[in-house]
Amino acid sequence: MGYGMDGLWARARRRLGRNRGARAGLVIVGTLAVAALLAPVLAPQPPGRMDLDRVLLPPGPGHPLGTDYFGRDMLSRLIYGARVSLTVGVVAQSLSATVGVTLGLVAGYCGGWTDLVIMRLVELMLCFPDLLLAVGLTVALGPGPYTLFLALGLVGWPGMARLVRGEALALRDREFLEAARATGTGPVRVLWGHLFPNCLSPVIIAVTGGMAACIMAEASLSFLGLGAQPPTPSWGSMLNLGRPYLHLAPHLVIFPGLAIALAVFGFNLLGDGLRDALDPRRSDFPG
Amino acid sequence: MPGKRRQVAVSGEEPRGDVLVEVKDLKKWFPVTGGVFGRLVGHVKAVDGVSFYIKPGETLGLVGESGCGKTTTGRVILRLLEPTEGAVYFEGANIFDLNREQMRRLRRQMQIVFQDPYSSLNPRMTVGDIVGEALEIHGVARGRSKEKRVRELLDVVGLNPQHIRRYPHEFSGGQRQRIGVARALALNPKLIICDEPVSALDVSIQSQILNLLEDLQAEFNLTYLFIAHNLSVVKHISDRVGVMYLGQVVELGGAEELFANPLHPYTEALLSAIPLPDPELKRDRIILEGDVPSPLNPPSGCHFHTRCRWVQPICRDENPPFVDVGDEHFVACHLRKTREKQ
Repeated sequence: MGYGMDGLWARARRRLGRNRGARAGLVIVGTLAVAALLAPVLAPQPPGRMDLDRVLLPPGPGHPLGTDYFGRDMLSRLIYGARVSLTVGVVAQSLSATVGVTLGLVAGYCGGWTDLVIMRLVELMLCFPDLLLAVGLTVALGPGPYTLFLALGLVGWPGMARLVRGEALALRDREFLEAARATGTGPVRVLWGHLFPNCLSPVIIAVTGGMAACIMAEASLSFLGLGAQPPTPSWGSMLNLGRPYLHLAPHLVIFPGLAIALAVFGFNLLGDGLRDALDPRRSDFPG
Repeated sequence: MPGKRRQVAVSGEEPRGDVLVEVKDLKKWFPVTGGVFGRLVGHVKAVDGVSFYIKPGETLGLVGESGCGKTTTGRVILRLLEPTEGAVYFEGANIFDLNREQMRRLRRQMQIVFQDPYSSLNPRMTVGDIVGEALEIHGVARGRSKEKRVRELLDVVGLNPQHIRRYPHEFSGGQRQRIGVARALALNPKLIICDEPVSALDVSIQSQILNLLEDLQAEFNLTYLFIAHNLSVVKHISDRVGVMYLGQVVELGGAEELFANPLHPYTEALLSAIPLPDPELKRDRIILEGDVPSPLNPPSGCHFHTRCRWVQPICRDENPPFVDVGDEHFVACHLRKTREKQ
């Protein structure tokens, strides 16, 4: 692409800066990303170091967020847990977005038999409850980070494909696509250069919303013992480990829960902000 | 369709030498399916045997009411749709015999300006990218030289070259149509198909765009196929005019000649419907009875016989031939001779 895309992104950056909600989302997601990247530097202790003299301590000096049943520092474990959660979100969403957008564009633009086959496949996938499918896959392939990526990625793509197909279907008869074909633009470029940018807004919302959903799903799977395996800390498995001590040491559940909520909230805010910022039809001025 | 070659049945002799485009017995039928199993129940005969030619540097107007197949004809000539039957010769070569790569190269020679300036420009692309994309795809220019050429084109169509980085929504309808014209001009085509280019515009803007098209034609020696339903516009801009009814061209002739001396009863009725600017003037309007029959099941014989006031038994049985009555004035009517004598 030429200067158009540069213009689009430069403009998007400017507008993103002006939108308060998006700014907050960006700060939250950015903070979590930095925490995940710099975990070894930021964490006060290695996440696995146990201290059986100081178990189930409430938040206080030395351990700002307290300690768990093994005397491990909760703050350190939360910081390391961000790695698992964010990686799962990003990788699984990239996977489902790539597959979903490609199939959706092809189905919506080509129509006919192609559309029929792809959409029946999508419906087949949608018949399974998301979490059950993910659980089934994890059990079948054995728990582990790659299984998690694959399971959550496979759960996500049919929804994305359906969304993109709907957009493509609404746009396929627009004359600008015909104009592109009349100038000799090849089908790949028509799909990705002309059709895709016009489907971008809902895809961005779906991807950022999907990130939030992935973080939740990862937490659920980890809570069930099917996600990150001990001793790797993840927010979901921390919740799971803290559950028996809910009355004795509620901070074991509260802080991982807050971390999950914060991440989900941040991604949702960012998604809404990006949608507004990427739409060139919206005016540069708020209101 | 990758590499799909279509053998077309062509009636008649070799293509004419002195024309830019020749359309021969072109048909485009859209299949209609019904029921659970998508059974074929019939065809919409959008274009049903159309023949005409366009000479270099002239404007051929194509008029007819909505649904008569004008737009489909334009799309098939550009091979945006594949024909059911027939041939289109561009500079002597049948475009339906070309492979994918040959067709891609030929697209430099023929371009289109669309009716709706709102849906014909990609809202996510800047004017620079919309107009310049063709240059990039055909390897004519990229980077700085592309930008320079786009600025020139914007200037030629009467837009401010500094607006190259703007998006389509920042322009008015007339300006957007100018962007569409600039895009069509980018590759220096020989033929531009104007598909109702002014129908969506305000009357005051219409004349601006028409003048622009005429100026460009003179400057770049362009050939236009001008599709429209506004008779005054067509009369103004065209050298020759073809009248379409239900997928067929019923009459074709020089603009002056056709408007002064219509031979087909449908053309007569159409011309009598042009509003006169003087409210005092009265004239005999020919009111056509009924509606246009469905193209799904067009009438036998002459397609117009269900509404023709001169209808004879022969009209129901035989499709009239499209014959030259002299001076390149063609008409498809059985009664042309008998009525002349009256």
